[in-house]
Amino acid sequence: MQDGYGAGIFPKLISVVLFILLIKDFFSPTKKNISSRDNLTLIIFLTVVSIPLYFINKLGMYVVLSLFLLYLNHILKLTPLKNLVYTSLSMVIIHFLFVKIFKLSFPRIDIF
Amino acid sequence: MIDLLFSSVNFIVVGFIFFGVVFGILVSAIPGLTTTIGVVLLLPFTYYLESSSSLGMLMGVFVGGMAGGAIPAILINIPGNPASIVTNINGYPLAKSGRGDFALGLALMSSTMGALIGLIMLFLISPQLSDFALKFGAVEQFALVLLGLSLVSALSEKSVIKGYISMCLGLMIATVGLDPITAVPRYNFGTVSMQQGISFIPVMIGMFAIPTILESMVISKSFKFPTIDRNFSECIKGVISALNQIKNSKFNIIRSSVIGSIIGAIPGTGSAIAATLSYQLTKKIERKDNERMNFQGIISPEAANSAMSGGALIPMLTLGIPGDPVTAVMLGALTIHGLEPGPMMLLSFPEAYYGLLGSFAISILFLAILSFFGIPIFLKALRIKTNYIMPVIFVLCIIGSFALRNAMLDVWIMLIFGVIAFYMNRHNYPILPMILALILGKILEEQFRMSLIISLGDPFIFFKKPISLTLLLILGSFLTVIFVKFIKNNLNRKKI
Repeated sequence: MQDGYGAGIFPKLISVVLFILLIKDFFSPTKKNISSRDNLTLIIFLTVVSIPLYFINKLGMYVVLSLFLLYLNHILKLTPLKNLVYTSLSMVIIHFLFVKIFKLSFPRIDIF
Repeated sequence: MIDLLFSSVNFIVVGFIFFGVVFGILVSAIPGLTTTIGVVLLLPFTYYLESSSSLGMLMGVFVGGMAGGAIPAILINIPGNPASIVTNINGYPLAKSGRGDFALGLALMSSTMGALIGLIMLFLISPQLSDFALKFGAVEQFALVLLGLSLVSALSEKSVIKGYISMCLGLMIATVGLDPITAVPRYNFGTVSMQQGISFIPVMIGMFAIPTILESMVISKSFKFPTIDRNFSECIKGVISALNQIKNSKFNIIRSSVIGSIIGAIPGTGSAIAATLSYQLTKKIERKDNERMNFQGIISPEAANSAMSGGALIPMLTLGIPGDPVTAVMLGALTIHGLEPGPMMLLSFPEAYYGLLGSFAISILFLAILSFFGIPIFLKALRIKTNYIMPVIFVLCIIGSFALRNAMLDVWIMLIFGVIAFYMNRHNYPILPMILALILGKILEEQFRMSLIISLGDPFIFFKKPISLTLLLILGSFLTVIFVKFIKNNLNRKKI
């Protein structure tokens, strides 16, 4: 079949090249240790972000985004009052800009 | 041709270009944010705008962003983006001696001149290169994309091997989805949503923006800068005296801009290399006159990095190969609007092609105006704390990824690739080769398969056509030089 010329070669070629390069890189003398602080920050971030995102069809986009904003504002050392004000303001702007002007349809809250 | 330049320009488009230039300058003026993040943040908005407005806005950010990085470099000794990596060497001492307005005026004016020369180079070179590229068939296109990707990977600032690993990862991700010739689903885990493949837009949003947010969380504190107050008349006086100095530095501006444009046209080099190279050359030329070097040391890198923006558009518009992160995002914006950059763009979409050049020209005009009147406003940008911005950037990333296809899959892709990019940064793997490989991977595979079908499976077809043979020879000699350098470095390291 004419279509068959080279079918499957491309991914195989890349896999082989990548494997060789990774082996070379693995044995290179300059390597950085993985920082446990980075990992901890990342694990907390991913947990906080992934769980609401997974349930977005139940919680709705507004609740999820508000949760993220509250969490990030808290991590980045904003006072609770400022945090609340900035989150509310951001949500109002997002609603007007994306839903009212750009007509984007967000997943809606569906827990009741 | 001149008609086409401004045919799609109306008040709305001009408004978006102006917004783009101001936004670009402000984003670059805030340390920790770059021009790339600026264009990535505005990308979701382009889904809803007309192509001329959205491309004009992104072009404005590109032009403004290259100039804006000089503001923190001069005033607080922290380059706002990689493009201003050497501007602070002479700029900061000048600001410390009380001539900050003059130094800022020099930087913004030379950026304007540099961008103008970059535009002229783009205007002169790109149609010729497009004509030549029309001769390219599948075989030549494969060789060209392979050469472009190899250049980007090898010239990345970090390790060459890490650059190629990044490229291969991008190419592997590009193979997800339907086979370009037989339409057989590949690596989709049996899901329908993955059959379309992984869109490079959420990947780009995640890889450029998420690491910045995570970095700010790891550092967990905001940058604090001194308050800098300048009144309007002081700024105008500074800019006028800078303009007089610019008049006496014509040769430096032209030389640096030409260097910037040429460097920009080579995929994978970028604004930092353009600025550093032209600065070093100016330093050599002005080595006997230290006082003159204080000014020329600001003019040279700023003219070069702004001219680079014109140069970087040459391969993107004529060959479809983006040379740096900003042009990669712009290529994404073009494809969103159904415009395919490459040799055919000038023939198929002349309005869009010349419209982009027209937007570039208008952006330069706005940059010139803002160089005069905008400095007091831009100084205020330095007071914005980064911890107010990061949460908003994250939310925009989520909405931007979601809005592409109204699918949560793209949000997950953005998040996953953001985390990957964070670790890639930490372990010195460059991000750009991966993103370019993801963008160009489909073209590379398609042209590779087409070439094999044309030659009935003969792999030597790539060496039988003169253009493809020349491109592959350039690639071969380039790889040989890198390999020899690599062996030499290893031997030297062992001796030590």
